[in-house]
Amino acid sequence: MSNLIEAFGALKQFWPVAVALGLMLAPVRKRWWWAVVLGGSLIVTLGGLCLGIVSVYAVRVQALICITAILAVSLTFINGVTGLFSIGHAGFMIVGAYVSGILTALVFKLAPGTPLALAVPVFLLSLVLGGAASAATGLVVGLPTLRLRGDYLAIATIGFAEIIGVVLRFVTFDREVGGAVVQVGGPRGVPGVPAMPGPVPPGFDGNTAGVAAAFVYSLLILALVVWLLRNYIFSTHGRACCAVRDDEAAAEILGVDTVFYKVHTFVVGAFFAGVGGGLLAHWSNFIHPSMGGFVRSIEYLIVVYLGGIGSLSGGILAAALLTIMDVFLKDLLQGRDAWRMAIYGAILVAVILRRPNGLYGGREFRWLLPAGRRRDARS
Amino acid sequence: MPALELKNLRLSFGGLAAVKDVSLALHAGELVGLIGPNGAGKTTLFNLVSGVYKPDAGDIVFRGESLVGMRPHVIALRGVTRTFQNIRLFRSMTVLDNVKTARHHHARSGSLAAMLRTRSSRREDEEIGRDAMELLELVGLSDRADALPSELPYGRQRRLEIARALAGAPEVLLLDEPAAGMNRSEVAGLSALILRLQRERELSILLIEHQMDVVMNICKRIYVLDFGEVIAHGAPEEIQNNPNVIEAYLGKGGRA
Repeated sequence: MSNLIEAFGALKQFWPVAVALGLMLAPVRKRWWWAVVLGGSLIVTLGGLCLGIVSVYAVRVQALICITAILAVSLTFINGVTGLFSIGHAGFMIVGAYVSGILTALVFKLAPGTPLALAVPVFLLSLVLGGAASAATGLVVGLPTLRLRGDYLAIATIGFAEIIGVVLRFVTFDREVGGAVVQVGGPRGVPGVPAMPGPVPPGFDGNTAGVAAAFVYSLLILALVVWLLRNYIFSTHGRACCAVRDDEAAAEILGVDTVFYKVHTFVVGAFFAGVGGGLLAHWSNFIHPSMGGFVRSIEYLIVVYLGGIGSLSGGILAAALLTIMDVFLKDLLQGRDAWRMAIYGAILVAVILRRPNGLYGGREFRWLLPAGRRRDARS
Repeated sequence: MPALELKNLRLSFGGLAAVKDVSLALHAGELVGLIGPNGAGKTTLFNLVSGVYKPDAGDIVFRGESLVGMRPHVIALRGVTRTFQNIRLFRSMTVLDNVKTARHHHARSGSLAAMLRTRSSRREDEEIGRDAMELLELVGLSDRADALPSELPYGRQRRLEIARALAGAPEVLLLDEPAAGMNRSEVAGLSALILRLQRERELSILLIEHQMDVVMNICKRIYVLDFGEVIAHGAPEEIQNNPNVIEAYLGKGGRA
């Protein structure tokens, strides 16, 4: 009982998330509202952190929410927009995590004390390269599985994710490169991924500045990814993808190169998953092969379905709610982890039974819709 | 030179010869009917032309170029589009988006430009939207641009299919039973629309239709297909009095 009260009490620390969600859900059609959402989230969280009314832990969780949301929207693009059933998303994610994490670990160890003006571009570049590596993986998965649909494609994507996991488990690389030790420890993963580089502004100490940087990067990159995907979805290319989902044969006959768009979807979705993976590696400061495993893929799938498949907004909402629920259940059960998944599962079943289309299926935040669009139905 | 010419087409599914030796010519700007009992191979013929099936033998020539072996989207790009007998609209997309999608290959800006929402990609999208809206006006659906296809009555869904096929700016349009399930006044409107398309847009149209009054009234030439073969070909009056045709539809002794 005391656990319950404590766990509920601990929820209070996530009030900045509630503020951000409130801003997002506000029924405002104006397109400049995105700036209010983004600015509001930043000010509330960073201000709270600075004043000591938001804990370092809470901000860390918020950064994780943003990263989870990046993975959710990239997966909802593959599964919801083009309608390919991919359930190996963590496999794409971990490729980006490895590439990005190893790159920065190497650079920052080779040149300790890299000035911030250099460290930030190196970090951002490592994210892009991680994304590019994942995109290449997406191409490798997309090309041979073109002819597969539905369940069969799903099985193929699990297979690919498992191959990636197995390869990563076997790769051990532990040697000196130009004066720095690079460790890729097979089943032990990659330790010593540096934190996201950021300044220590006045009012912050080393501890709070680190977590603030992680939050700011994750949030801004989430905003960028959502903007890019939203533009794509509501463009002629996005319509082509939706057509593939609705009726592949009809789309092809009406002039849509379905093969191109299916491969393209995998490449684009995997790219953003890789960027999210890079952020996750720097957020958790180590990478473990199991982070690319089936269980993790399913977790992202749950976020997407709970939010409403195909909805970017739903992915963001569900990422926030599920991440916080996870924290809540951890507090509640205090180590009896088996029960956590059971309760988590029960809540999911209850939600999906009541709302089969997810929390926000077929809808987007009003301010996220392009001008002149009266209807957001795409899913 | 005909706009579209089918030369000795053959296609079998296992032991069943669905199309045996069909030759047919559609001249530029012509409206030709294709009739025949159920299972005669009419839709199969459309599937051959649009690249869904590959013929076992024979050739399909469009503007002097063979379409055989091309993927369906390439054929659409060349200028041959079609509608479907069983309506196949994109159900989760609005009426307008359905038409815009089929105008997709008129966009030149790449996916990266679309993501970054560059000026040229936006302008292009506006153009596509305007063109699509014009087509909706043409078929009389501009008032329902934001509706979902499932919210339209059946007859209007068929009109949307036509608008969507027109979005690809075709030279040859294949209409697969556009009047199916329509009531009398809808059918009259549809006939007028098809004639307008032929005259104003100078389209060459091949029309599959079971409602005989439609075909007989608007087509100058008609091909009759039965068991995968052309059994008759000519003007409507000739077809109506052709003993082979009467037998195919009514069986032997149907002439009585």
